[in-house]
Amino acid sequence: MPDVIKVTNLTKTFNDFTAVANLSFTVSEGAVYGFLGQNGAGKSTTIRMLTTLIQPTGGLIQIFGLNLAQHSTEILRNIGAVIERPDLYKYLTAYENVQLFGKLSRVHPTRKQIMELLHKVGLADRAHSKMKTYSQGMKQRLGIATALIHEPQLIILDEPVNGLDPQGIADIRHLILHLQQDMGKTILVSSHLLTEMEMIATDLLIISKGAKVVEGKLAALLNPNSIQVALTVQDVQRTQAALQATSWGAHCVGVVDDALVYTMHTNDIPQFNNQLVALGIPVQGLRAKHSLEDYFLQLTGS
Amino acid sequence: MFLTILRIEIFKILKRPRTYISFGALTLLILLIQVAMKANGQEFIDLLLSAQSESFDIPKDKVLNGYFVCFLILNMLLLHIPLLVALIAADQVSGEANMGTLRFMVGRPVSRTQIILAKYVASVLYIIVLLIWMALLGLFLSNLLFGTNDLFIGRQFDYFLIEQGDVMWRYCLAFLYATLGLSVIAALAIMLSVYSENSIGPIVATTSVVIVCTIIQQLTVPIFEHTITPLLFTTHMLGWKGFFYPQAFELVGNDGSPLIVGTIERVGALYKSVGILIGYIVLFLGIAIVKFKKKDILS
Repeated sequence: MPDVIKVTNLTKTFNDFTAVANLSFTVSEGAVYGFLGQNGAGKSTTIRMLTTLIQPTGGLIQIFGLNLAQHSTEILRNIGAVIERPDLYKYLTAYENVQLFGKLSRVHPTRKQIMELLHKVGLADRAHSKMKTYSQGMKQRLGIATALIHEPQLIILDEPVNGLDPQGIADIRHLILHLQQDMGKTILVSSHLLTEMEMIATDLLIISKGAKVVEGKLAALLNPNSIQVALTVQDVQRTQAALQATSWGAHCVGVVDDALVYTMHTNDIPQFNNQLVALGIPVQGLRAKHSLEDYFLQLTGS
Repeated sequence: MFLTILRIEIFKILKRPRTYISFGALTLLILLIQVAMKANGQEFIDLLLSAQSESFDIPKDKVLNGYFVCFLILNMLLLHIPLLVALIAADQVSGEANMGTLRFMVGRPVSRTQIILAKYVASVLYIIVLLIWMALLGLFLSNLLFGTNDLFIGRQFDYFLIEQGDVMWRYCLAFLYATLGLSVIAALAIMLSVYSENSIGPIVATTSVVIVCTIIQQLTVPIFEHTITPLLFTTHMLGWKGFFYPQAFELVGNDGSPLIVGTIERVGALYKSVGILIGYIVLFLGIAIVKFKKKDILS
């Protein structure tokens, strides 16, 4: 797959504060590229640099193989972005907002095209209501509609599910998957909701304090060959000593939050459980730490 | 692309309720002046001309007419219209930053220079429509209400009575000149707007600059009069009055000396003022464009 975004040593400083430090990553065509990080990690700053809102202090951004600094107009024609809140024109209707942003993106959408797009995001019946009457979820969907009106190849969504109820989150999730799977779009999406990201992302970038922590395919990062299992028992020291004498001793990571943590393959968990029974250890809890959330917390040290 | 952005900017101005506040305020003020002049116009003129009547033989019964009322309206309002212009122009960039729409706009394939220029031209078009509305109410409605006659223009030491057939073109040029003067305010407001992320600051800053400059200009003390005052844009914004000072056949005083139809007393000064006003527009817009091109959109 060709690279849609290639970022090399991207840096942004605000006076003495370094928001993004030597960040490099690559987004392949057709990916849903999850962009993770804590608040203030530099996600929004990076996204703003990708959309020319902020000028980098250093580094190189290449999108569709072109240098963003030199070909911004050409590149932006092929990007649809919703950055942070979907703050569109409150005094305009959904139809007018989509039409306006279409024109700004150098297309002149017909009424049919606008209505089809609004139908796709579930707003056709409110097309002529002013945006100020919309719920947060509707605003978010309208934001996405304005990002799609010029049929861009790359879609950038910054915290698209912020402030949405569970139904709104599910709607956006389905929309993102539809855009990637049915329309072949490349999507870069940042979110705090790790469970959501786990459901939609094909690739992942985790940043902390402006720097890259890890990047790769989600499936590879959440490797079933090396998951962590947290064992909760009454007597931690006795259990650790008992297991140390077995082959499991080499797999012990240590004690985290009063639980013994071991690394193993997913398929080995029943054997591990059998070993505990054989040793007569009363088990209070056995939990596989296999989720993106666990992985994220482990990496960022939260 | 520029025309597309311009059409969008005009569309946004038309859709915003605040646009119509200026028209409402202007209409109310003009109607108030007209009602006052209809009710007590002659008394007002008698009081106004009481000092000059002692020296000159002024035909007071001819003074109150549509042209005179319009001149009065322009004198009263052209100093205040900058506030209405600031309300729209100072909101152009900062208002969008405040609403968050600026990041959606700048993230599109449009040049930042074109955005600023389109916003400026849209503001100037707004000024033109505002002044056309002012002309319709202030000039044509006044002519309907008060009829037409020769236009009385009083200065400190003399007065003119311009033939009514020689008046209309002067008003046309005066309104055109006022458009230029107010366009300086729009450029100033947009420049200040680029530096802010809420619209209140630039609106207050623009009006403050106008007020301070006007006060300096009115302080007729040598330290200002020969240094700063000739350079202030507010000084040259008043140049529209020059269109109502015709040349006379004799250079000594204009009271009684016949006026030359179709002339302006100091054409050179008017050209100079136009040049200075255009210079200010270029300066303010230049600063706005340079700043906006480098600006990180953090709102």
